[in-house]
Amino acid sequence: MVTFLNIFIGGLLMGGIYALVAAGLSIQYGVGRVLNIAHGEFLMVGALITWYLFTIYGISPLISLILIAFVFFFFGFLLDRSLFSRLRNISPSVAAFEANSLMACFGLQFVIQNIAIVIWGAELKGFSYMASPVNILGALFGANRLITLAYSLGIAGIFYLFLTKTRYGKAIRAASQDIFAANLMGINIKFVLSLCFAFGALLAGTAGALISMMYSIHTTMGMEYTVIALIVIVLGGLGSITGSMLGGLILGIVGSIVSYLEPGLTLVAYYMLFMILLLVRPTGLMGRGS
Amino acid sequence: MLKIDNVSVFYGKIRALWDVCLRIGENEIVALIGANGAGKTTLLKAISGVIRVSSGSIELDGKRIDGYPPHKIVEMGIAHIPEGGRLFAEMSVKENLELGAFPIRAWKKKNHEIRNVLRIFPHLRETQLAKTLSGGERQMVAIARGLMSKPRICLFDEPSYGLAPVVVSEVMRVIRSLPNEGISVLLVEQNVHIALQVADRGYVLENGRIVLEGNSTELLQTELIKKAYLGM
Ligand SMILES: Nc1ncnc2c1ncn2[C@@H]1O[C@H](COP(=O)(O)OP(=O)(O)O)[C@@H](O)[C@H]1O
Ligand SMILES: [Mg+2]
Repeated sequence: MVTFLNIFIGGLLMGGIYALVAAGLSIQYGVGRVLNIAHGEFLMVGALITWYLFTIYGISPLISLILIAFVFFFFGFLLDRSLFSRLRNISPSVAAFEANSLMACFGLQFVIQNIAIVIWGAELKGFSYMASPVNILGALFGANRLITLAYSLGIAGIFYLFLTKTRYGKAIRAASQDIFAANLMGINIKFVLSLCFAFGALLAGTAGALISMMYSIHTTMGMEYTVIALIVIVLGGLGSITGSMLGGLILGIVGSIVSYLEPGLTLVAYYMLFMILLLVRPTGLMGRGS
Repeated sequence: MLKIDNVSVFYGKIRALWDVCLRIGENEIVALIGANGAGKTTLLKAISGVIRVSSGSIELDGKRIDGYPPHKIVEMGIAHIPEGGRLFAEMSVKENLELGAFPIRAWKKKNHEIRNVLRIFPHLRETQLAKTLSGGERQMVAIARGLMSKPRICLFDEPSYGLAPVVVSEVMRVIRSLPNEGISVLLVEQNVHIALQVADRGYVLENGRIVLEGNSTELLQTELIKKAYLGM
């Protein structure tokens, strides 16, 4: 029972974070067609800012998280307005835009990571925040892990409600299904696309803040999360934001089970799951058949 | 109320419309007919702002609207119901209708308006997922969705295409009733017979140019229509 709880809560914990990271990439790619290879770098910057504010100024990670949410949203919005929306204007087709924006993201990844290395160096960093153990039915969990769990599921839940219940959430989902029709509904597509990139940056940044509360972090950690997010959005079905959230949770739980059995095989298990799913159900869990 | 003067549109270097002039009066149904590739959809897209006109002007009640983005055009009261309906497949009928009311003024009254449009199409079920609808139901939801923004002009792109005859007459019955609600209609059709039965006036578009215009009854008598479109 204790092991089961450990695996299950550990799985939800990872899964909650994967859900955030993947939902962020999914909204950027599924709606905006920006395959944001630099997604993990946003997460890394979120993690390092949280670490920095905590170790230098003693600011609680939970406050940094809210700060990061606002700043990253704003910055993501500006980035879309200045970079991607221009690329959209000069690209003759959607395919050309995808290629152009992918190249831009490669560049962005390189720039962000190297600036981060200059500022923070490349060594491992970590801090201890509310690490005192909490006893749940005999299993011990760090309080920080339980808070992280609550936050990641909470953020995912709020984001889900935003997408399904609000005017602009519905507009984002409409645009992900049919941009032309969404435009005819009176939806300002340019604004919605910027909104999507902004939410993607927000989700990556807050996920980074949460990760920094549990694990050691470093300036080259981004790529791993980009890859995981890519796996999850294919798993969940390209273009389905809610599918990526579900895919993230599932991958987290699978990862937790596998790392209990053999920690070294976690990433291997992710790739295996990914390949099996591609063979069995190429459109993903909640993907649309073509 | 809608005045289109000398509108030309290019796709890259290829010219799709040549100095098109067209009028739509208050509470009038105007048909735009022409063969595949004539430029009908292009003209609708030019009106709704999806593509730019390279010369000429489009005026709504004396105000230039060409050059405005599509979401502004919708707010000004022009709804474009695209070919094939283009519903949001993964959403329910209700959510599709809600999105039709996206402009903020319409959004505030969307629940009231959904009840109104569902009275026109009583067979639709709000909770049904759009991708599971039949072709006829899809077209009806598309029309209902277009009406959700409370437009003054509706642009229909081949609403009869691919539908069974009974469904076509149902769709045409609804279109014919719109002027009573204060809505003018521009009806794009390849099916000339149907279009001219419903419309007050019509224009014939060939290779991007208007080649004929007149009252529906007059048009039905012309040699061009008889030969080229009715096969007589
Ligand atoms: N996106 C596009 N790019 C290039 N040419 C186009 C595009 N859309 C339409 N055309 C061309 O413009 C002409 C008019 O097309 P369209 O307006 O769709 O005709 P219709 O709706 O009357 O069938 C056609 O010759 C078509 O090939
Ligand atoms: Mg057409």
